[in-house]
Amino acid sequence: MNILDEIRNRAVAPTVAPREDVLAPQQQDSPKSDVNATSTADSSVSELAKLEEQLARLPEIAPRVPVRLEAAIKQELDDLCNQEKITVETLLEAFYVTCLEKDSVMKQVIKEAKKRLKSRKEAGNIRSSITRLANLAKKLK
Amino acid sequence: MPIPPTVVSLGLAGGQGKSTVALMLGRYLGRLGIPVLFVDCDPQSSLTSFLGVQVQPDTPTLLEVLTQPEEKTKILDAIASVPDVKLGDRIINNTNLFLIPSDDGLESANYKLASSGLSLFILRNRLQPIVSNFGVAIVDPPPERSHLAQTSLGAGDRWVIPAESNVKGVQSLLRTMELIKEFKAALPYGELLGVVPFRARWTGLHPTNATKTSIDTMRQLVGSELMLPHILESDVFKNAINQRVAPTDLGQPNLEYAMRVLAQRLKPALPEEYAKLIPSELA
Repeated sequence: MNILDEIRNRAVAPTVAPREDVLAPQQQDSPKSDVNATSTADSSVSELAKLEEQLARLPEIAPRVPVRLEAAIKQELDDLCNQEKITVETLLEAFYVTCLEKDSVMKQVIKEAKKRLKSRKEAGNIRSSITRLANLAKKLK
Repeated sequence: MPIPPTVVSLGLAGGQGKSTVALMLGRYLGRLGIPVLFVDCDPQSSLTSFLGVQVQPDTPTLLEVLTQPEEKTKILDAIASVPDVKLGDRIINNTNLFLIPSDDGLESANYKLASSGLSLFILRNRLQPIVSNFGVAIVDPPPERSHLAQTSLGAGDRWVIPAESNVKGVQSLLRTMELIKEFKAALPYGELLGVVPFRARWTGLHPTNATKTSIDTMRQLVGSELMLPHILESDVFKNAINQRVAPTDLGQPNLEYAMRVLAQRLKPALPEEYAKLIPSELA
């Protein structure tokens, strides 16, 4: 049987973890509201107010920031996030709040971050020198 | 043996006929006996809906294909078989049609694609291992200039640009040509099959002034050799889409003329066993 026949004759449809609407507010641990045929516009308004109130209690999210990571670490982070079903954003937040509680760990993290910054600056300087030399070589031609 | 081509119906505006051309071309090729893999790359999911494939919240879709590795979501699991359709007392056979469907959730793939830095090639790389099981893949991208549009463009070996026969269509064509120009250097395998004027209005033997002017402008923009026959504004298309069949199934094969010409242009890129199924002469 070829692959196309396999797809045509599948007895059980494959499944994935249910997708969530990215725009819909998450209603974790809240019982399903009883919507019945007699529900009115008023109940929609109160439901909306309830959801807005619920959303207001959750932390506000800052605007997106462009972040560039070391390629190998980015890959490992992606794999970890895929495996644990979390996002890089929530992982970074969790790293921060966890380190905040442990002074020695925070110091160690900041030391590592400074070392990395130094290395990035060095790479930036080298790139800049390469560009300048290449431009100079072009002018001399 | 050549790798089956991926055709992308491009257009950077809504209502240009992207999904209609993708759908009608796929239906035409499928009817000839060529296995067609549709890829619905638009979170509006028009193609998924037009083909009658039901997507549940736990159905594997293009979102999982684009955002998860093969180990987690096998691309094969995301391919659905397009169901046959009952038309009156006839059954319209869709045995050769397959689809990687989408739903609203696909919108979030844009974030993942943006962070990857390689969005141009992600869909192409994901399709590559399975495309040889089909005669052709047809991608329907979203109308906005997003990462989903970019990954659709990069997946294409052959691009076709449907453009509405009015000012908006000309603008859409211009923006789409700009997009292709911007990325062409990174996509040496990509080739433009042509431009299909969409919703052309005819009165008697003549086009309306708006149709004529816009088609003439399109011709000036891309050159006569890239202009394909127009698709008429017709309720038959709407009825065909509603009933999930092709105009030919409704007794109007002439309305599929543009698809027949498009198939002729695509023929040299198809594997030989499928190329020979396309009639050599246009009726």
